Amino acid sequence: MVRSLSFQLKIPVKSAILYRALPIVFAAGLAAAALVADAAMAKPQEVRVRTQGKLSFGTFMVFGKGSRAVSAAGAVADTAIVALDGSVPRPARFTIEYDRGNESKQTLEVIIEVVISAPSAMRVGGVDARLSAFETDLPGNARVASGEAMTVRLTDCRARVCSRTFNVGGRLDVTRRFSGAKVEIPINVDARIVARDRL
Amino acid sequence: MTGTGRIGHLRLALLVCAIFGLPATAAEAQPGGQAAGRAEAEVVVPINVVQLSDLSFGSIAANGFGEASVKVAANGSPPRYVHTARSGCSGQSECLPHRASFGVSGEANRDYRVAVPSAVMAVGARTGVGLPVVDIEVRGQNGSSAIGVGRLDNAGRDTLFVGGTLRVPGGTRPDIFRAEFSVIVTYD
Repeated sequence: MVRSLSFQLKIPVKSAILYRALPIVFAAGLAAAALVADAAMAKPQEVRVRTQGKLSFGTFMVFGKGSRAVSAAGAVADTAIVALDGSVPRPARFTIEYDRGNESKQTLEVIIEVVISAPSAMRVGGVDARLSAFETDLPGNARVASGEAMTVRLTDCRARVCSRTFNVGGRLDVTRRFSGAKVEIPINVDARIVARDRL
Repeated sequence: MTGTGRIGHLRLALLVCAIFGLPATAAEAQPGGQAAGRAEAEVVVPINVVQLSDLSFGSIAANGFGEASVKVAANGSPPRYVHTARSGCSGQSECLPHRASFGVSGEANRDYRVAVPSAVMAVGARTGVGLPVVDIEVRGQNGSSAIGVGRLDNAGRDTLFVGGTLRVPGGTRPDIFRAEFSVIVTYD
């Protein structure tokens, strides 16, 4: 006895459309994956600040009150102090780096806001020290006060990382009541991107 | 039905792009950076020198014939009488020869340099005759390997001694001779 089996495969119309659309969905998935990978490889833009050297006022003797100013170019002006051999007076040096986060060759102009801040006064042993009158060699920012915003413009930026190095001078007023002291005053430099234009 | 499916794919693709496009927009935020530097200075206590005692050649007896000399050393060794010179002091403290001494104060553990004239002229109070004081030398109590250089101790102190040689030519009449000289100390 032979029985014939017969059946019919019925595919719903909606499912059939889905099967035909599979290559498109797959392609979209690949594209999405590529986007994700690209997003993962391309880091967000960032700005970094590097300290290249401290602001040194050197070694000096002071009888009561005196001051020493070190310009951004390294020129030294003394009032009522006697300079001694020891550490050499020199301006601080900082570098601002802008990293666009990708390897694009698009020419950019980046405007960065920079703020230099330091405690206005410190007491070390019998010595009171006051740091003020910052000077920089950045165009348009020859003199700047603590906490005052400066603008650094990185023009014609074609590399992934563009940078600007600048010097910072200042004036140290010292009042010696007794003893000597090694005075150290922290200087913080903060930077943030305020504009980025494609040229 | 087919047309509806294509529209569905288009919507799907737009949705995918929209979803994955969002992080790229978020990356346009304005990040910042900062660094810590410092300013520094070494403020040194001024160096100071105070006279504690004079350089004295004491009372000298010379026979008046030929040159005599008296050397008072900065290192504190006994005075040396040369040629016809003899001590004219019988033991009283005010007529004994002695080196000059100075108190020096300043920054602890720092070297300092001393400047004194190499020779001065002592002038007689009555006769006005001049006697040369030569080979003036200095020595710090804390010691130093270099000539004319002293060193302040942990408390920022030192004692500086000055010696020299007085020359007395033959025929010099009795008198009290006095000279003044400056001692200058500076940080090395």
